[in-house]
Parts: sequence; C-alpha cells; structure tokens
Amino acid sequence: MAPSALFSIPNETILAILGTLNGKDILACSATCRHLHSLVAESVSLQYAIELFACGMFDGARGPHTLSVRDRLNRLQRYSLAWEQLLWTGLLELPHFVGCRKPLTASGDVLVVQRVGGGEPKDQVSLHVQRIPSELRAVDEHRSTNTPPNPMKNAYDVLLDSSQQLMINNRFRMNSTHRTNELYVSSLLTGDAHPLASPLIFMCQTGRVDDICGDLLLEMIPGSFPQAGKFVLLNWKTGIVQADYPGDESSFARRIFVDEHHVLCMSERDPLCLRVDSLVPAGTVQPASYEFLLPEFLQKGAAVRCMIPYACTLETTPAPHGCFYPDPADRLIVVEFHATALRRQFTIDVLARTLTGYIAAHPASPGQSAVVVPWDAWGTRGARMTVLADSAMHRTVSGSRQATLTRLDGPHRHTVLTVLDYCPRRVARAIARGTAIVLHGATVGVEHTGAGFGPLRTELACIVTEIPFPFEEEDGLDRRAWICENGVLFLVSDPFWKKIVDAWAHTI
Amino acid sequence: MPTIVSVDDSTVPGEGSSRLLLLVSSDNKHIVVEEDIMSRSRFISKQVEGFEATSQRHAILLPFSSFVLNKVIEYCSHYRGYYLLEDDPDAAPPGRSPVREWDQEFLDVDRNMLLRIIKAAHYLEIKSLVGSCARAIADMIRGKTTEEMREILGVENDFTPEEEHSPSSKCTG
Repeated sequence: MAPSALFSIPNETILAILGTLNGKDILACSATCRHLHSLVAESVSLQYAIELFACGMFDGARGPHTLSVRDRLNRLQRYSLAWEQLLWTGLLELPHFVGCRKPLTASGDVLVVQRVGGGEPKDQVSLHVQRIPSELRAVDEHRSTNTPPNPMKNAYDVLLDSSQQLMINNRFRMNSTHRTNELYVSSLLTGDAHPLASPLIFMCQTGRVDDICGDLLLEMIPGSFPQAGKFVLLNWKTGIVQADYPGDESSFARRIFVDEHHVLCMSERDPLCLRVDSLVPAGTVQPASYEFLLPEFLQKGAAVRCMIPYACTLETTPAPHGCFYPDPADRLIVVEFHATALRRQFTIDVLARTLTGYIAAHPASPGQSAVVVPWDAWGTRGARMTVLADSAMHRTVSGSRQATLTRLDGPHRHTVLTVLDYCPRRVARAIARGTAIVLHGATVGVEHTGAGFGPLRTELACIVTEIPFPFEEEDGLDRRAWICENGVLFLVSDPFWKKIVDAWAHTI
Repeated sequence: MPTIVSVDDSTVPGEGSSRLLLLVSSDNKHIVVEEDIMSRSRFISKQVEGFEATSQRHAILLPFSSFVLNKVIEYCSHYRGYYLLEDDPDAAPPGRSPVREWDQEFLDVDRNMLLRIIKAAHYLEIKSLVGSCARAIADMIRGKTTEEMREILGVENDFTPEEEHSPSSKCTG
C-alpha cells in the first residue's frame, strides 16, 4: 500500500476512525506520523477521549444542559493538571485545627481530628470533621464538631466511608468480663446520626474495628497459640454478624474490599497474603474460602472470582510489606514497599492486575466458584521503582497516588512534598506526551523485575511532582502531609503529636 | 470520460415512484440503479433535488471505481427502506455507531478496499457506512503498538530522530 493511501481519505473520516478508539490507542496512533499527530492534537473530541481514558471515565452525558465537549475537556484538563503540576488555586488555612491532636483518619476529601479538653467534663473528647473545599468540583467547605454524648477517653476508632458519606465512630467500654462496643454512625454531610445505628451496641473481643467497607465492619481477633485467630465481619446496618471465619494465629487483616457478594481481605504477614471470600448467598460465607500466598498467587496467575469496588479506597499509611489498591479500571494494584535502612532506599513494586474484566468475560462454569485467569490475560505486568530519598518523614497513600514528605539536606535545608502517581492510565498518557517523571532530591529508576513479570510496560512508570513545603523550618516540630481527593493537607505538630501547631491545605 | 448524458425520463419503467439513476464510475462503467436505493446517500439526494429544480436528469459522475460503487450499492440495497439513526439528518448523532452484524461481514475485506469504501461513503455522505467502516478500520489497529499501526495503516514514520526521542517536542497535544 502506498504510504499516502490513508491520507487519500478526508481528515474528517480519519477522525471518525480514531473516534472509535480508546485514549491509549489514539495516543499510539498519534505517534505514528506527523499528520496523524497534528490531527489528534487539534481535535477537541479526541483530546477529550484521551482525557476521559486517563481518568478512567466514560462520558454518558446527553442533554441540553451539559457543557460543550470543549468545556468538559477544559475542566478535565484543569483537574489533571492541578494534580500533575500541583497547580492549585487555594492555600486554605485551617486555624481551628490548631491545638487538636493528630488526625485520626482521612478519606476522600474529609479529615477527622480529635480534640481533648475545652468542654465539660474537662477531658471531654470531641471530633472535628473537615471537608476540604473544591472550586473545580463544586464541593463546599464543611466543618462540624461531634461531641460524643457518652465520652470515653482514648477509645476511638474513627472510620470514614466516603462512598456513603458516613463517619463511623467506634468506642468501647470495659467491665470485668467483657468489652462492649458502641458504634456511632453519622452523616459526613449533615452531622446527623444515622437512623439505623445510633448507637449500635455489640460485643467485641478486641475492642477495635480494623476496617470498614460499605456496611461491613471488620474485626480481626488475633489468636494465641495454639488457638487460631479469626475474622469477624459485622453488618452495622442490621447488627448481624455476616461472617465469622478462622484466620490463623499469625495473620492480621488490614484491609477489606467488599461488594455485596465478595470479601477481599489483605492480611499482613510473611509472606503477604491475599484472601478472597465469597458472601453467597447474602449473609453466609461459602464453605470453601480461598487463601493464596501472594508469590504463589502471582506465579500461577490464579484468581478466585472477586470484585474490587472502587469506592472503598481508604487512606492508609503504607504497610512495610505491601498494600492493595483497587483502581477504577477494574484492576487491583499491588504496591509493595521494601525499605533498606542502610542505603536509605525504598523500593516500590507496582503490579497491576486485571481481574474483574477477565472474570466478567469468562465466568466460572457451573458448580465451580473459582476462575483461573491465565497468566497472559493479566494485562499490565510489574515494574519496580527504586526511590532513593534522603529521609522520608511521612508517607501517605490515597487511591493510586502517594505523597511523601522529604527533608532535603544541604545549605538550605528544606522540605518537599513529592507526589507519585502510578495510575496506569494517567501514566500512559503522560508518557505519550512526554510529561511524566521528573525528580529532584529523589531518584526514580525503573527497572525490569525478575522472572515471571515479563517485559516492562511503560504505563507502569509514575508521574512525579513536587512542591516545597509551605512552612518555615522550625526544628523540633513534626511535619506531616495527608493526601486527599481535592489536595494535600499539611500539618505541623509538636514532637509527640500532643497538638497541632499549624495546619494548611493546598486545594484544587 | 463520458460527457454528461441526459437520461430521458420516459425510459424509466413506471414501477411505483422509484425512478432510475445513472451512475458513472471513474473507470467509465455505467450503472443503473433505483433512486430509492441510493436515497440513503445525502449526496445523491441533493443531486436528485437539483434535477427536480431544473427538470433535467443527468448521469452522476463519481470519482471511484465500479468495484467500489457496486459495493456501496450492495450496502444501500441491503438497507433499502430501513431507518438507520446515523443517516437521519434531523436526529441527534449517536455517541457511537451501533455494531451491525451484517456490516461486519460485509466489510470483511482488505484494508485497501476498506479505505476505498470509507472514502466513497464519505463522498456520498452515507454516515452509517462511514461509521461502520471507521469501526472496522479501528478494529484492525486497536490494542496495537505504534510500530504495528504504521505497518497496518501503511504510514511512514516522518518524525526526526530527535522528535522521536523527546516526545515532549512533538506531543504538545
């Protein structure tokens, strides 16, 4: 075929062809030659398709009131640029945080801090809930103070459910024989108590709730040899224990991802363990639950039938061994951190696995509850990033973004915030545009992983951005950053987190 | 190339309202087709309106071969009398053209032919056929690497080596 054959057809028709492709294919196509590149660069609808792809979104909007494609593209680009270059419009001062204790939890765009004192009785504990505003996403600032009716000191577990906009506050009371837990559920939007559970009183052996997803609370009861530990899943809306199944003496469940049929628990032990259980039919656990040791799990490429809901991403501090993050593109992202004290180096392994897409297309045969996903079908393979940092003071993860506060040594000691974004789609777009990956103060090397992971795929690199920490250095004070959907929150505290000295938020 | 040929209306058999059109392909083949079949083409419809205004009917010269033209006529004959949303100038354009099984089989041809058909469909303003062809061509390159796409589309890499190695300079979009 003559080189010009494609270009004998009108540009409008070429655009019609490209318009049926997804963002990644459009980008690949635009890299073939100058003509296609300029066509893609000049087409608003194709740029919008690329942007949607990077966000993991589909635009089903139709109607007289929706914005034009150009306006929608502009807004999406503003939102991604705000993250990629940290071009945020607002630095929000949070004076009401000053004097509070350290943050208890953050999820989505909500942060909860605890304040002791300042009321009656003297050691009254109250919770401050702060929603970080967003002009772009039309989220207003919201602030509320929640003073428990029955104050119990130092007995707080605060869990946020950003998908349902709920705050779950677990407190426990001890008497000689057992612990009683009281669960207060309130709306993050109004502060009102949830009509179904206020308070829900239940017996709990450890006095802690480890994780929450949707309506389910996870309590992990560690065993003591020779007795095995167990997981308990409680539905707080009904008060019914949905699952009570054995773990083992050393396992410790850290995260749960639940939809109406399945529970995925990540437990932290050596080696790392990923456990997927089915809740079928509602309220019962299938007798056969599955447990995989991670290395074996990855080698065999086997997965049980599971769904990983996106909405349940909770902020956590990365575990030393690893974390699982669901991602909007139906992938399970596994991030492993390995710290080497000597070289002050930590390694992040990012493994993205497509589970649900394959499972949706190849359901289990009747009578079988497991789907074995062949290795080739797993899509994106692993990459390893080695990050050399002078000293990481604090690290926080939200979704597929990780924020690290690093103090740089040198004549002018200063602190920078580095945001790593390893969402495969955003990275793929950034690489195609040459905007991915720059670093100061820390070095990111991308290398092929060992046997079994196949060749490196470019989308597994990361987008790195950094901004200077907006506070003056004052020795002796702790600095922390929390990452949330709308921006990054900075807190400065006294050395032992007795109280917050200063608090600011960079917002989009 | 023939000069414009007048077609006398009296030569058209009086079968209902469907009159005949004379289409002339670039390889000088004369193809007679019922007007009804070709009404899916906005281009042809406009020509026919022009005939009515001047009450003169001409052969319609088309810049593609009879091979391609026959293929397009086959498509139009298949959907004769069918309503296809994409071809309705008054309807809101659908987000994506629907997948039609018959079209997929119909367009199971090599890429050169596909490109010729889509070009003809564009010329004749048959949106549904443009959509189906676009989908078929997109299917060929979907999920491929840039290098594979060049191969499939027959496109030559005309970036300079510097541009190749620094995507930022070429990729401003």
